[in-house]
Amino acid sequence: MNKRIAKTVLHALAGGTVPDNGLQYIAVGRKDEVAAITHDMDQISEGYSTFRLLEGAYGTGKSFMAKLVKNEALLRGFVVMECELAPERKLCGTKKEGLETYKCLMSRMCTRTSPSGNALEEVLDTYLYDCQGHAVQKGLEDSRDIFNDVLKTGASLKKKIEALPHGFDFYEVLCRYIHGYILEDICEKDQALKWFRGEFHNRTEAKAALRVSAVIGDGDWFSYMKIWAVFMKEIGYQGLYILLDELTQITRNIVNSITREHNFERLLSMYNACYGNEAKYMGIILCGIPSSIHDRRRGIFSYEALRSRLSNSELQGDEVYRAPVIQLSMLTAEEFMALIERLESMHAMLHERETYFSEEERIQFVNYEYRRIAAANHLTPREFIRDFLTILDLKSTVRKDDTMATFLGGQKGIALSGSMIGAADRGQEENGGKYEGFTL
Amino acid sequence: MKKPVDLSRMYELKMTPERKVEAFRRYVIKLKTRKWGKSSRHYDYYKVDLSFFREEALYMKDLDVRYDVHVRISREIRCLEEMSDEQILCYYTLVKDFRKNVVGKVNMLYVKYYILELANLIYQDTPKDAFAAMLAFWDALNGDRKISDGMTEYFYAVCRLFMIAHTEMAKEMILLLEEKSGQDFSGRNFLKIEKGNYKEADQYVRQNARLLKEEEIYSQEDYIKHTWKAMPCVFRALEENLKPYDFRHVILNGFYASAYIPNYPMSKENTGDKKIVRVSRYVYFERQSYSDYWRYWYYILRESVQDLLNLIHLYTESYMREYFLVKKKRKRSSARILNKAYMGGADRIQDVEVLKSMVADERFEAAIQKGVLAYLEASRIKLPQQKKKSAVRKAIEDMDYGDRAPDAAVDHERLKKAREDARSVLSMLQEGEIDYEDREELTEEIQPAKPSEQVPDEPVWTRAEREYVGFLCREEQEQAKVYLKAVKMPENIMIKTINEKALALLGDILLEKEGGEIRVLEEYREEAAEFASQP
Repeated sequence: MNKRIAKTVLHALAGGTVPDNGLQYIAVGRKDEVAAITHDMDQISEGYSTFRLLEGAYGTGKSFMAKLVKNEALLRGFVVMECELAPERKLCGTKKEGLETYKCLMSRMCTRTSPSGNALEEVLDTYLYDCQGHAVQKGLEDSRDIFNDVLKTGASLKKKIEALPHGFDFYEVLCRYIHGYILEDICEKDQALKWFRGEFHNRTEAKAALRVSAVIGDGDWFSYMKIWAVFMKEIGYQGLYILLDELTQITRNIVNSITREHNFERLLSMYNACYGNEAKYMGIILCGIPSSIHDRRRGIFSYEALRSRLSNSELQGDEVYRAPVIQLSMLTAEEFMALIERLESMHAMLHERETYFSEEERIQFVNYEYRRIAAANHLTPREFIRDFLTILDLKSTVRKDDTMATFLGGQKGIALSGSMIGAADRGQEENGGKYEGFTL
Repeated sequence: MKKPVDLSRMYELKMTPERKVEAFRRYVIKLKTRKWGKSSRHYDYYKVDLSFFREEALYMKDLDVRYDVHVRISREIRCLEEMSDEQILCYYTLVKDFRKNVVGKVNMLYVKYYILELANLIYQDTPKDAFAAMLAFWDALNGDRKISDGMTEYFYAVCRLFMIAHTEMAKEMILLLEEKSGQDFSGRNFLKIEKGNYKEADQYVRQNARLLKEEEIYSQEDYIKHTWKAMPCVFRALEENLKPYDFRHVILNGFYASAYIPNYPMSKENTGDKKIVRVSRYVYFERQSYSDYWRYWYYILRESVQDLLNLIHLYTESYMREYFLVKKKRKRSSARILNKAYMGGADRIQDVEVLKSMVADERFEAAIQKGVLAYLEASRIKLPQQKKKSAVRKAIEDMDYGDRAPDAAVDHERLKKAREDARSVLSMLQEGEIDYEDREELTEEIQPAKPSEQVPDEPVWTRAEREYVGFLCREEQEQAKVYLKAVKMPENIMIKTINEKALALLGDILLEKEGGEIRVLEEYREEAAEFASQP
């Protein structure tokens, strides 16, 4: 790790957000989860598909975990598509909400070199650039010849794509794209890209533009995802990872039971495709709060077929390696300790110091955080980290000689605890924290 | 468009009652633009500032009205604004009789409200008159009817608070109230607490604790400890929060609010005893804290100031002695009064005044604080845990807010394991190949990361790449595009190649496509310039 990454990490954490890179340095207490996910990645690159639900209460680090998965997948050579479900983006719906999800996924396609999205063109161009290079090496000069040679090179790709539902249409459009690329016809290339992104409204439009009488629609977008997964593998990536966040949007937030059920059916078909080996080289991760899964009225478990498939075996206990639902629990005090040790170490490195606090002082900080108002229910890594980084910043600048005890508001070692008045506490904190130990 | 009404003038002009009610409403609205509606489920409902209670009541107290229909009232009210027009008219019709101590068949909620007004000196100017009016009204109310326990309890609780708000009348009031009720108003059972007789003391505290179901919440011992030993700190904290208010009225209104707030809108379902809170969790928390706030206040202030001083004395004796005898040798008379107050009670009004001024002294406060903190430290007080089996606790369980956090105590064995786990995560992940622990490598210079499989060992920058990065560093977008055309390299491919190499060198990408333009990431501008200038 270099200083720049440390700086990026600390900067993002101080602002309460998850940093874009360097996540692995602050990943504590997630050993089993990481092991399960990396195992999945190995499976996917071998031709299997996986389907996991990441379940965690607010603030337990779902977004962190999703970003960790994304970064790791990108590093391992996967193409990652991510999307946050929303009222206008579901798995299916009467107003083409499913298609909107597909569009979102396509626009946020990421690769290692384009981690911020919009990588579709790059992916296709890279593949074609290599093919074109081979053709030129063979001594071909005419564009038509090169085009034919590229098609010839991709014969096996053609076979695999056409074996899948909607494969012929997909390959037809791919040919249009290749044609546009090699003959430098930007218009044709753009039309093909538009088709891939699901932007054509109807078949007539598509036929006029590309001579293909099919468009990607609300009902079949997942079939195209399967094709994309195979395509990615064939052109040199490890596979396709799909990350869907805000699961609650298709569970609790849908009031109409029929619409909800349709979404569950789509989810079921996705699950079946993954484990029935109908989909290959594909990993799906959905993130949601516990009620979006376990609620027996509106959660996923209200749909019996999904409940029986996704319920973790009672025999497995806390083991997440094989569990379809990975439950992210709140970090323990010790894990928080390990986390702040790392943060302190990073901070010290940036400011060229050895260390700031002793272990006892760090323990004192952890204890302090746990005793805060409503900490039992509301203490999240975000707040915890922010507090600690604030102390580190102060310690490294204006309050160099202060100890942890003084930072924590002059408790003078008194273990005050219990319930008092919250409002009074907050007021006191501003005035020097005379009664900080009192919590409601 | 209606002209704004000059309310005070209208009042003088003796408007009709209906128009007065309307004017009053506008007056209140003008005074405060309320955020809350009348619905008790409204988010801000429980945040209502009751400081206007007295102003409203004073403004309306002489409303001359005769409204013969007895309007029903179904919930407790805290201020006039919560009543409908008809209820206000009905109330002030009744008040005219109440003031003559004539009480017919009447809804007790009107009576409660009237008692609260009496206690807040709405109809009388002096506390003495007010107290006399309260007692007279109470006698009239009792008359030949059976008053419920709840109502009786309410009346005595208001009396107790009244007593605290007007300590100069305490002695007289205690005698009268003890004679009337048979309850203990003097706090003499406090001595029993000091002797550790918790059973007796428990009875004493429970006597007026209408808000808590003690059995569910605390053991007797904890309960006593909690209530008594926390007092000085809470009292002081409260005082600081109440500076802008007229303390006495706020006490009474606060008590009244506390009596009302715990009635959460819950519905009992037919399936067992399970209760469901219909409001959101957030609103619940708002109420919960508010309710507790008043509840503690009620606890503290319903006891006499004398008891509080006794308590302070116990824990601060040595500090006080130091303060009065060593640093303030000449203030012996103060010390005498204080000592007397601790031991026997302050009889004379002037003694009470001296006590008050002493309590206001900063150094005195500091001594108290020091003493209390020392005591708390020495005795390691554990305040009671959250109640476990109450319906309220059950209702807030929400699977989306996670488990209760584990114990704060850091176990060294578990800490060791957590560190090992974190290290193993690092090794499982691809970037984790770089040794985090190795401080020697963490220097300012850019360290080449251990390359992944896709990247060659030592990336070499081609001339075209250097030139391209150079154009971008100088923000010459057009020239960059022209250059790419000249070298017959697609833009996407060029960006990808450069980013691949940057990943190997910096551990991050260098170029990013934003809109139609390619830009060098701000963080790596220096490095980009360095690469571009390489031979």
